[in-house]
Amino acid sequence: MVIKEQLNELPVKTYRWLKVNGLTLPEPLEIAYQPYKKDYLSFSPLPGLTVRPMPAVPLRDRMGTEYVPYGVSAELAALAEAQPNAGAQVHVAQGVKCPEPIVLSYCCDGENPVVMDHNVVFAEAGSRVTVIFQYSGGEAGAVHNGTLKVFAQPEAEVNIIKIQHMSDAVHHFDSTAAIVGEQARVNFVHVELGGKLAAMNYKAQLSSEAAVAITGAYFGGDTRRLDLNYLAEHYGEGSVSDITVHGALAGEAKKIFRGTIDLKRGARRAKGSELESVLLLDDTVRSIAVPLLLAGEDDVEGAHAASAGKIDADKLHYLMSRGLSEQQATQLLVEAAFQPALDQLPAAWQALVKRELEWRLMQCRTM
Amino acid sequence: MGEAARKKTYVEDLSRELYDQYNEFTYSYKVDRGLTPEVVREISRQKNEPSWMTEFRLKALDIYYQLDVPPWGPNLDELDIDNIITYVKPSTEMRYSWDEVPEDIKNTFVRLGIPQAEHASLAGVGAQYDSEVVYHSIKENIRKRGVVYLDMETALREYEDMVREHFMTLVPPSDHKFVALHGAVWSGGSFVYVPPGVHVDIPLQSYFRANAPGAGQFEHTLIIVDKGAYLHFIEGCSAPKYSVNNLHAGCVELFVREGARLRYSTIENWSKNMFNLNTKRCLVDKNAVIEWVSGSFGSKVSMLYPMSILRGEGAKAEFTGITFAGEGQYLDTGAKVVHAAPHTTSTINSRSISKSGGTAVYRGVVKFTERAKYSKSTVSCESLMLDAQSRSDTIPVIDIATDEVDVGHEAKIGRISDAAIFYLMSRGISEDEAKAMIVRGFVEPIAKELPLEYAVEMNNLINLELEGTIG
Repeated sequence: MVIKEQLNELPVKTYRWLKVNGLTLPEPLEIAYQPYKKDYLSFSPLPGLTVRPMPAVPLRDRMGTEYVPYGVSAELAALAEAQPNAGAQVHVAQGVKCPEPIVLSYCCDGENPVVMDHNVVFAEAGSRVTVIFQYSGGEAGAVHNGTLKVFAQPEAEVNIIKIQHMSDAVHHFDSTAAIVGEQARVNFVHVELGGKLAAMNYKAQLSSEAAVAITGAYFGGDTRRLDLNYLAEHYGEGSVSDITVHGALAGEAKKIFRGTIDLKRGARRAKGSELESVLLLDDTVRSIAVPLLLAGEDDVEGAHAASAGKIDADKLHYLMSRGLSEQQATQLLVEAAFQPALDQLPAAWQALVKRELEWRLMQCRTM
Repeated sequence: MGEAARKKTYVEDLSRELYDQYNEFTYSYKVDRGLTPEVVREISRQKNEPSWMTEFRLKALDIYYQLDVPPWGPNLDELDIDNIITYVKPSTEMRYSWDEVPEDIKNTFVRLGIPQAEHASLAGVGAQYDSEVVYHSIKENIRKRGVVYLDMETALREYEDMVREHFMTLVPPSDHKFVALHGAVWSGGSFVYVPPGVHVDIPLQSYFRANAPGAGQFEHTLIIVDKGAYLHFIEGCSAPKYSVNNLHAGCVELFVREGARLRYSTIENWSKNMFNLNTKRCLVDKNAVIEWVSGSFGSKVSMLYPMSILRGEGAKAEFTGITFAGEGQYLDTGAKVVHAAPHTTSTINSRSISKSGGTAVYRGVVKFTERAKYSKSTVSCESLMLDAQSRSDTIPVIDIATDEVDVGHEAKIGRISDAAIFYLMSRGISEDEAKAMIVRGFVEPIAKELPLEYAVEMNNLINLELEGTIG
């Protein structure tokens, strides 16, 4: 199937000459179905926890939840939902707290160049679960087009960690949506390190007293292209959203950040905040930020802040005066930008991200 | 805070009594409704223009036909351009003395305080009534220093080369549909030239008044502040309310040469049947400064984003804006800055208030080209919502194509803080007074940049009263 639709559209459009209203693929992209033949699922069995590989029973129908449009584009999300070659359905029964994370590890290779994973996490009232997604590998022409839907019922807590360290030769599309019930909480942590083109879309719908936190970290070097789109829709009273994205850009990398906090009428006492900050490592990078704040209700607090700049020369000087090379000092400062995300990862995953980041920084700093 | 304490604050609309008085609609000439090459040729013929201008208008009309209405921003469906009268010539010629201006037109400007202000605190005044400028003057001592302040029509005759060199070069008709329309049917406006090193101590003011119902106003303002010179220019706009929609598609082109400084203040108080689709742009040379002060209070729909192009090293732009959107209003305003040279600086400070179902939108962009090393931009947007029927949106874009820049953007949306009111009340201040203080404090950073008489007016009009609890 050839991808035609514009990707990552801005919920409210603005000036056309800036070309920020959405992403048009620079060249036509065809995604063809191929089976994915590797194991990708690991978890510790627990009463009340059901994990089934996809394709499984469509959960949506069983849950009677209204279909919420989501995704990098409707087309990409529909493609992965209709014909997934991987993915999992996670169901946590009421009140069950899973002590161990469920890990879904997808790796593209020559024989499995396409990952089309459709994942659903359904957490019943009062339950708690953590799911880790890993995306790696990928030769030229490889594509990852994945979807994740999270349903957090009242007072549930769902933690989603996504680590994407694919090669710089792949297309990576990630469509994620969360329906967050009353007093439920969903935490997303995602780290984006690879992809020739990486387009991510996170959407959360919040009921009363519901909370979503999205912590993102990215690094873009070479001619990589990152296209990020976040949307927090506040419907319920007292709902809270927090979007924090830090990253670093080098070489001729281009990043666009679109983040929207939408405080709907009736979402009294809702609070939304959004923070985007980027380190610019070369004068050939391109960094665009479009942080939207929409309010149809007066009794709310909404705030966003965006900042961009070069690595602080004083900090660099300090670190180098302590015997670090410029490369090491830069590495340390980029790592600091990743810290809010790293802090939320299990130790083994922290080490992986640091290693991957170091390797990628070195690749582009020595060019 | 308990439910009972969650009081509403009510802020009065700016009183429109002064602006809504209208004169009987008389004119010496007007074109038919609609837009055809014949209408455009007729406007040009009426004005006795050089042929290049007639050609320019026709080309702009062509572009107008080709462009679409922007698919973003406020809904413009109610704007029926085909039925807007594009040119209404008032029943008077341009005058240099108020005594010669017909009584009804003169009284309009007297009510708006223009001749009084001219006498007290202005270096020159231009007054436009519908499509043509009816009065223009400049103080003798300013004129003697080589400052030119004329209506655009006279400038086109007397300074044809300078006008031709600059006219719609900064804002080309291809920019968007409404500026193409402007290029085709523009009429009136002011032309200012300040020679190198001349410091005009007191402001010039042009006032644009639309009186004709169902008409459009398309004045063109062209200002050139030459090297090292200084000017403060004030633009005022208003119109009485009619039941038909009016259109204002003005165009402002400002050229600030090396080391010069221009302050451009606008107080826009169009009536609530006005579509205000205005385009303003400034080209800022080396070490030059543009300061925009913008108050948007009137109109039904506004789309206004003054743009600063910092093309010279060390150029600087400051934008200070306040938008007050009441019932039935959709005010989509903001600022655009392009940093196109090293060591350039921009500061944007925007405040908006929305109430009674009004929508206030901040829309802007700060763009750094690859040449903009060592540049800096600070943006701060604050929105105050006074009830849950209103809307307030912030839609900024930050686009960076180099590394040595320092960019900070902050925005906040919210209501009057209960804690702040509680604190003030605990200090013995009444609740009403506390709220009034907070709203005045909110607009203060902007109010202090406004010309004094406007600041006083704005403060007087923000009257606060309690409305009771929300259900």
